[in-house]
Amino acid sequence: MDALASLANGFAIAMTPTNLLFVLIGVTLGQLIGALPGIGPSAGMALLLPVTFGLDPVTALVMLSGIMYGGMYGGTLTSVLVNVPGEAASVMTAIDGNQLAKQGRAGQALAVAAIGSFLAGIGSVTALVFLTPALSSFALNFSAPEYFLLALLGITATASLGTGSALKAMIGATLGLMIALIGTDPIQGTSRLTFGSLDLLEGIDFLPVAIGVFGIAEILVSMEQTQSGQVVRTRLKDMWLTGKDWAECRMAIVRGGFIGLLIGLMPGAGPTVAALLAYVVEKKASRHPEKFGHGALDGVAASESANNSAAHGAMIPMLALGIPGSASTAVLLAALVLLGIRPGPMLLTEQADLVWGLIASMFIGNVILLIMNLPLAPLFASVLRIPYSYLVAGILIVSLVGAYAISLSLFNVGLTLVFGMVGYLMIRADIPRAPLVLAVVLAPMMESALRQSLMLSEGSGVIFVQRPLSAVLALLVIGSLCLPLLSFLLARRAARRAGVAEALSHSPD
Amino acid sequence: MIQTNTEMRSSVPLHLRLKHTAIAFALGAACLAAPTALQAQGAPTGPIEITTGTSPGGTPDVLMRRAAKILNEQKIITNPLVVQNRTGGSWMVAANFVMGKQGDRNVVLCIAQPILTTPITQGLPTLYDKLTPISMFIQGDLVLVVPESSPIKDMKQLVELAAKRERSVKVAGAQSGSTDHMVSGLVEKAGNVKLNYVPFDGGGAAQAAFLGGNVDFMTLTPGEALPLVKGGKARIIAILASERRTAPELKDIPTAKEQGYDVVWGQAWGLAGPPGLDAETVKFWDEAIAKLVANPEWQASLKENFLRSQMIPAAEVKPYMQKLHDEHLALLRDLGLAKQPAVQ
Amino acid sequence: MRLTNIIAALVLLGLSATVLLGTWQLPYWADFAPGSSFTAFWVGIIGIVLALSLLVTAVMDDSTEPHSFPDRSGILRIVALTAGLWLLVLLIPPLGFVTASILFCLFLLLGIERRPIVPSLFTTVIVVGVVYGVFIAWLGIALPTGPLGI
Repeated sequence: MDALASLANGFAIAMTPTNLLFVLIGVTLGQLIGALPGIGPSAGMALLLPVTFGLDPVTALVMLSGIMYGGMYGGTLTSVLVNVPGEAASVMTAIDGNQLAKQGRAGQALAVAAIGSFLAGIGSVTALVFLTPALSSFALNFSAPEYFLLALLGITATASLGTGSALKAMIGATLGLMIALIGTDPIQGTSRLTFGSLDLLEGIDFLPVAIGVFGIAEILVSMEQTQSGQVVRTRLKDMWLTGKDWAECRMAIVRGGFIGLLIGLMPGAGPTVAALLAYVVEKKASRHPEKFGHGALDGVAASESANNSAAHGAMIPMLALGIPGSASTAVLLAALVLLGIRPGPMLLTEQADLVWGLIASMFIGNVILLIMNLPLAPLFASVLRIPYSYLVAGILIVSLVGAYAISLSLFNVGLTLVFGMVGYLMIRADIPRAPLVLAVVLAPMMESALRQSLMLSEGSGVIFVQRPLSAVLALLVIGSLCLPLLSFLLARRAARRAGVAEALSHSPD
Repeated sequence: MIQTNTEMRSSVPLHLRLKHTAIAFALGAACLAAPTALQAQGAPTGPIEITTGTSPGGTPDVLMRRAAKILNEQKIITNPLVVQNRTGGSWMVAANFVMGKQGDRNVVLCIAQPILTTPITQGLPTLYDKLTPISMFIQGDLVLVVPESSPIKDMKQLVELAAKRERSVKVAGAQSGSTDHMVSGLVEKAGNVKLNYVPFDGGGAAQAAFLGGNVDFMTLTPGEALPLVKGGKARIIAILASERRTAPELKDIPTAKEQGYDVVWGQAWGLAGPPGLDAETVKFWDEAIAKLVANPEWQASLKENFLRSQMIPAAEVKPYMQKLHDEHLALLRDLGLAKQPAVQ
Repeated sequence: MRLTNIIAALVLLGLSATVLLGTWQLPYWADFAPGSSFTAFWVGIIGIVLALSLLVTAVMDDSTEPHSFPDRSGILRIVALTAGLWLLVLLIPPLGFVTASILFCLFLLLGIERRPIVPSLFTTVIVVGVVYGVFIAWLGIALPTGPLGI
């Protein structure tokens, strides 16, 4: 009841006209910034940080966090419509979302992403209201061994992620692993495969890879032929979700939301990892895994629910312990510090008004975002009515400006083009790109966590099964490796039996 | 990584206070005499970029944004100040951008530790002596913390525990070669022990590992540590300053030095111009920063985060940076991370 | 497809060799845990194994599935577009981002796509306007400027 009383108080604070206005401003800016390729929510929040200097702390925080989760909604737009991930966490949305757009179902993809994000967001904020202390101490049980196993779980799924042969999927993943190797080794400080380039010292940023391999590569493929000026024409009323669509996505949203919350809680993994893992899990859970990569609505629903849920989940360790769980919460913490509020375990009690006002504002903000995105989904989708030739010019320029904005250097622009060409060649050589992206995100986490675990255990591998959580994850890893093998063997045995039976039935006796 | 920092010393040493007064006086006189003269000859025209090498939200970025805001709001500098994050290469992308702007009056570089350490660890030519020094004006302290449940109560017990078995005491920290890593090296040296330093992907992850009870101790800034202490999650065993700090929250924390271990380390931030920056512009900045440091709003905002703002003016910053560089080089060599040859 | 696969396998083989050779001198193991070259070594080995598997399957493959690269005119268009993009990157430092973008837009629309001139100019204005309004004016991102000051 305590939480409810505090929440009511929080609503009283969040509902003041000023705060309501700034929630609206925040989520609108977030939506815009999320939609711009290259500039993610964390960079957008930092760019707009100076605006908040004169504001009341609650107002400032409400606006900044609005940008954070607004960005999760906004990133969907560019991913679905033009296949350029608006921000890193929307990368999995680009895979299926854009396929759907090509089939004239952009409206559905956007609608299900908005609904999924909304439900998962509200779910996470509700968890934030009632379970923050419990969840934050749960989050601390996650350390290097668990991260290693989690990343391993994701990486081992790559073989199944392609649309064609497992061999090609693994090749895609290996390319991703190679990209992830480049840069300074965080544990020992040695530079690997940088070939003396300073720009490569911190490794290759994820965004140039994502923008290049998805956005630019897709444009190159479509530019092979003269654009005949034909566009996907759909009527507005065809753009709503049918009952069938909804039935297909319901569970995806629930699963995505839970995975997102769980991953968001962990200080070592953010919304991008959440979206990747939710997509992988959804593919395994789905009744039509063959559709993934060719426009699976539930794939979009799962990854979009997960990234929004993770963005909210990251608030739990931030508010309860003062630990940033993602790049965006790091900026939020910096904002708190600038506002003269010291984050830490006492924040919940010392700054109860601020915290509850913020939490209440997230309910409001998600509602605003839903209202903004759902009716407007067909409108946003109508961007695709612009003849492709003209659209291409805009996509290319804005993507490259976005790539420049990542670190204000032309190096990332060049890198984006290089990965665009790599992506094009991969499409033509029939090597799937999703495993590459997955490996780029998960490989550094897996490598560091493996080494950190062994350092923590002084070289003993027992650490991976000793801790209760890691033991569970280890079982999951073994299970996920063995199940396909088992089902393959069973299927073969069944086939052989059938074959034998058939042979017997045909034998002239 | 969020690094809020240390306390600001409530009593500035007398000689410094005198110097500030002198500067303020001189400035006041100059302004009275010729209010436009300063702008006309000294000030660059047009917007000025403050280049930082961290991603948005990192401590230096936050500090520079704060400073830029106050400098502009108080009309200390009328040119629009824009903080730009040129990330990559552990600050080398930002540094090289400024290095390439020979004599450009519209760009300054935020000086932070990687400007010194990255060339050392990567075996690159040094930068601190090629940039035009302007001023170092923000300082921060560091503290060592152990989990609340830890049996360790002070430095002595920590070192004794570490001496029992080599590499049995685990330290969490940021990437290899970071401040945390160097502090761990200093503790090893002072206590003649070997620690097990586990680098995490940034300060947040390291703090999570610490709070999760996976390691024995870590280095934090007072701004990060005090809330943990208040929340009953951690205990501060030493502050790594040369003398006790005077802020009420910090005055009871013993220094490592008084506990018999010579571990003194801190953080410092400032500004430098591109190579060959003219003396006029340096003077322009020097005066602006003197005013900033004297500004109560600036001082208050740093104090909240346990940071200090004492100005090391342009005239003195060169030997100061030299000393800082030599200290870092010596320490990184001890840690086996230096690729640069010994001090020439 | 057979030739494509063989080439892909050879490229992967080359990349794997680069990974192995580029990290050869780094420590494989350090104290308790794997060192800098541990992951690189295994990634290289996996790469070689996968490359060889692809090579073998491709060589044994006797299907006549055609490759999926476009015809001559398609290749020409792709080459022109890619060249245009790289030229854009080269022109940004001397001309500034905005001017270079205008040139690229016009090259793309008039040169490659051969669109009518009025809509092309209109599109260019809109795109550059968006870039200027959002990135430069609103977010204050320091895009490289040219002699014209933008």
